[in-house]
Amino acid sequence: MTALALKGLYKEYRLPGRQVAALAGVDLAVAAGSLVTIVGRSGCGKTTLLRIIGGLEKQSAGEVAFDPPGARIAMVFQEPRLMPWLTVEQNLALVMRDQPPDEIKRTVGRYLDMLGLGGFKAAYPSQLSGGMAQRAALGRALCYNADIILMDEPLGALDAFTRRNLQEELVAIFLKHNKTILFVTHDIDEALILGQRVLVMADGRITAEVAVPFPYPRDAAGEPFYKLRAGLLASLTSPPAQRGV
Amino acid sequence: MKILKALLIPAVVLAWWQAAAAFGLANSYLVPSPAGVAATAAALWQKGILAGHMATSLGRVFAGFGLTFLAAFPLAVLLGMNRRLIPYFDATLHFLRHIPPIACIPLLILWLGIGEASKLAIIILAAFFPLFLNTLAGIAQCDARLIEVGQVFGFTPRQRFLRIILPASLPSVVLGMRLGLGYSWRALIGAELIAASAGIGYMIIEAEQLSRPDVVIVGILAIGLFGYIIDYAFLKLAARILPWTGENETDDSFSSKGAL
Ligand SMILES: Nc1ncnc2c1ncn2[C@@H]1O[C@H](COP(=O)(O)OP(=O)(O)OP(=O)(O)O)[C@@H](O)[C@H]1O
Ligand SMILES: [Mg+2]
Repeated sequence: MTALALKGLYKEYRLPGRQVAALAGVDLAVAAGSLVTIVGRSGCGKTTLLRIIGGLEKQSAGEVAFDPPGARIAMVFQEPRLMPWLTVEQNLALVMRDQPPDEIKRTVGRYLDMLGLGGFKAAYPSQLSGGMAQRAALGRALCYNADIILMDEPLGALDAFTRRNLQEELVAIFLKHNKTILFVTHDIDEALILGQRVLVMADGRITAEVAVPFPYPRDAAGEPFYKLRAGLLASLTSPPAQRGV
Repeated sequence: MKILKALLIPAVVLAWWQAAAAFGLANSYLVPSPAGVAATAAALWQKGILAGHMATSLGRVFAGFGLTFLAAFPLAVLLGMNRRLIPYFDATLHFLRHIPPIACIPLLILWLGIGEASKLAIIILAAFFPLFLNTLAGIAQCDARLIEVGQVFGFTPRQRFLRIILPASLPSVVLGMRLGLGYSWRALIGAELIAASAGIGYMIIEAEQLSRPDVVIVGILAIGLFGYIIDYAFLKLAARILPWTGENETDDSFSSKGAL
């Protein structure tokens, strides 16, 4: 079953004196319950793609279709975007409005413990480090009972150890709850460790795709991994004319 | 230590004043000694005169300020949430903003008499703009990136307002309230000096007519003291309402601009 289908997605921004095609024709079908990672150079349109899917931006042309049509979407932004007037705990609870209070408390507590923020429930965002705030933002998206979770470099601000930890947790959550996840990252290893499919974007298009047929949890040190990584690197660095989809 | 530092300048001034009075450097009739002023203050307090005038003035400020809030806050929310209305109001409000409330006192007295109504009107004129403009700025400057969070996570427009825009603008609203309180205190004293039959401003002008500079000085010191107390109390209250801002953001003692 397809949870999300994009057809001929096109987005242009008008800047003074010129136009930027942030997306130049994106076609994509994402299966329900799959984890897709997206890599690409800075400025290639990854954030724009997620913002259009999340309904924050209107495409200039093309279609976005969800199945079921009213799918609930959560998003982890490139920046934490926590409400400064709410504590960490309240920030997570904010997106669980329509549930009973004890249920909210339990879910929030569980995710905060998982994210290593159990001791910071009552802290305000201004009292957190950048990585902690990013983890809280991740927790907020997980608390929202979404069908599709869009993640824009959610682990970008984290140290290698925490990052590795959260990758494992994310895989565990993915396997347990069977969510559909679109995950943008700059880190090729991360894309390969997490994604069932890795999409490569360049200049507003999906220019390559790599299927990662390995079971979770994955180990980035194995031989087959090296081959995939080499292939991905090649498609990221090759000039546009030689790329095929 | 902080208190000692704060008291240094008043102590020096007081010492000079006392010295000037003791050595007869100033006309003791025009410049009463600190001890004399203190005695007058004690007497005024004991007879309940000072407290009576003070209660009248404070009552006016709080009533007027409450009324102002009821008018300025909804209007600021209305304009902040419907930006397309702003061009209709912008020029008029900025024009009115430049008129000191005290310039309106003669008209207010003609229209409303010298009773409570003209005092309330003065306070409303003084407190309206700081409250209105700061609330509007708070709403208009709400971080669009936070509003997007509400958009993605399925907030209704109402929830977006109540849970994101309103709390985000609260520090600005509180700053406006604080400035508004200060402005209305000053404007009210001005109005009481011109036309009133009670209140701390009236006490001062009456003392002038009775040639009692000591009472005038007591009145002036009381105005400063109570202005200080109101502001301090409000600051403490703000820190409680806005626990995430920390002390520094609301404690801008030297940046709040005076008016009148
Ligand atoms: N609001 C906007 N106005 C004008 N141009 C924009 C806007 N948002 C994005 N762009 C342009 O669209 C292109 C794609 O931007 P986007 O943010 O999607 O890149 P990205 O792949 O997420 O990059 P990064 O990895 O650095 O986050 C860029 O050329 C950018 O300049
Ligand atoms: Mg981006």
